[in-house]
Amino acid sequence: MPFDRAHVRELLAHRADRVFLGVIALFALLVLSMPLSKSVRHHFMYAMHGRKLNPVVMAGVQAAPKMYNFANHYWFSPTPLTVAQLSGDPAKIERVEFGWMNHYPIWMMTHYWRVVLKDHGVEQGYFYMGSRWRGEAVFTGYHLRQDVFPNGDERATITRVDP
Amino acid sequence: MSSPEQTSAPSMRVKLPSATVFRLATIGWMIGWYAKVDNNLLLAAKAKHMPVIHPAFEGIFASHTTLLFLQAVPLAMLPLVWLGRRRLLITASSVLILCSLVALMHLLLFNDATFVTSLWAAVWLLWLAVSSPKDPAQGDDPSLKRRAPQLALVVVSLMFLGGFIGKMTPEFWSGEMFYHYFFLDRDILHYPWLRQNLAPDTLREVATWFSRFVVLMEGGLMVACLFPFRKIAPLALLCMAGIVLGSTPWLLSVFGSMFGLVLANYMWPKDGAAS
Repeated sequence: MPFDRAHVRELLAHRADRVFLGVIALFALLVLSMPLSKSVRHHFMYAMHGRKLNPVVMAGVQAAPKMYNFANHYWFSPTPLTVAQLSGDPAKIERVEFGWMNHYPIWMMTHYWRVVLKDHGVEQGYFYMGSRWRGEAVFTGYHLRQDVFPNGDERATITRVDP
Repeated sequence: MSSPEQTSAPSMRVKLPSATVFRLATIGWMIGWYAKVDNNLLLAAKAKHMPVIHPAFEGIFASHTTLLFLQAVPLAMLPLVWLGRRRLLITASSVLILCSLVALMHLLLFNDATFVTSLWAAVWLLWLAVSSPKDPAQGDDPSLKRRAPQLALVVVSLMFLGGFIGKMTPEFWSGEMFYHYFFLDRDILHYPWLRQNLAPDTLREVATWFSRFVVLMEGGLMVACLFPFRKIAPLALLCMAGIVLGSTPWLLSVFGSMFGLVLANYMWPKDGAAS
């Protein structure tokens, strides 16, 4: 079973240990507050979607432990989508690439999307992310334009366009 | 390993147990950090050719040069770690923390759990460096060999706490998330074989039980720190290896630092032995 009181006393007797455990406790509380606080939960989702946040908030959320959090989806579409479409059956939306995602939301937008853009034969389109947690959902949308310059260089410009 | 020791004339390398544990944990950290180095260098090369302008990422957090720095700087810390002097270890672990924080907020590496585990392993390394003796001749604090492993388990528990809480949504208990993300979409390891050899209903059932197993395992590991290190560490290692082999080998990047943290702490002299 758990270690004894003497062991705990030994840990708490050292200043460095107390500071270390204090920092860990702070982040453990942040994670534990996620099911209880809609604001905390949504900030985790906003960060996952790459929304612009206060740098301190972004650093705190990004440093918080997480592995395969939430049920996350993406949609690629050459035309804008609405929340109603994103909340419904993706098979009913024309010309949409839909999938489950976890890592690299920004990479999905830039590199993987280039393939999809070429498949659709378009130079710009829309990328949406949705995170679900116990029935509630947060959606974030981006417009992506890809420019190709005469020297062959390319540039991807991403702008926020929420559904 | 067990002699109270210091630096000697022929070698400037500190030979204390704390320095050895630090070095081994750093090796695990490096394995995780560099597990996807080829992929990261490719990302940097692509970003140089096609810059990405994103409203949430500016300056060093969008630059491909930063990504190159993040590949080089941790390696530059190895000589400091090898020497093992307290100030050098504090410097090295602080730099590893800084690299992890920048990686966590960088456009090209964004939202990779590799850098979360790296960050917290580096925080533990900093704690160990601070707790090591200012003068190597003094030897390690005798209690360090008990405190360090237990605090390493605290880090492991924190990581799994995050994973467990984030999965408290029906898509994980039903297996829906992993079914789509791994069992249907991945072409690595056993997933193609499972798709070819199992009936669709059976595949869905396997995904459900795999997902529940992961959720329960994370729930168990988040309280690992409440148990003595030497009793729980083998189970923690087994679970982490199971997650890597059962989902995707890319997760070695996430768990490399955690493996290092746990395995390194086996190097402390056992109670009764001199330290």
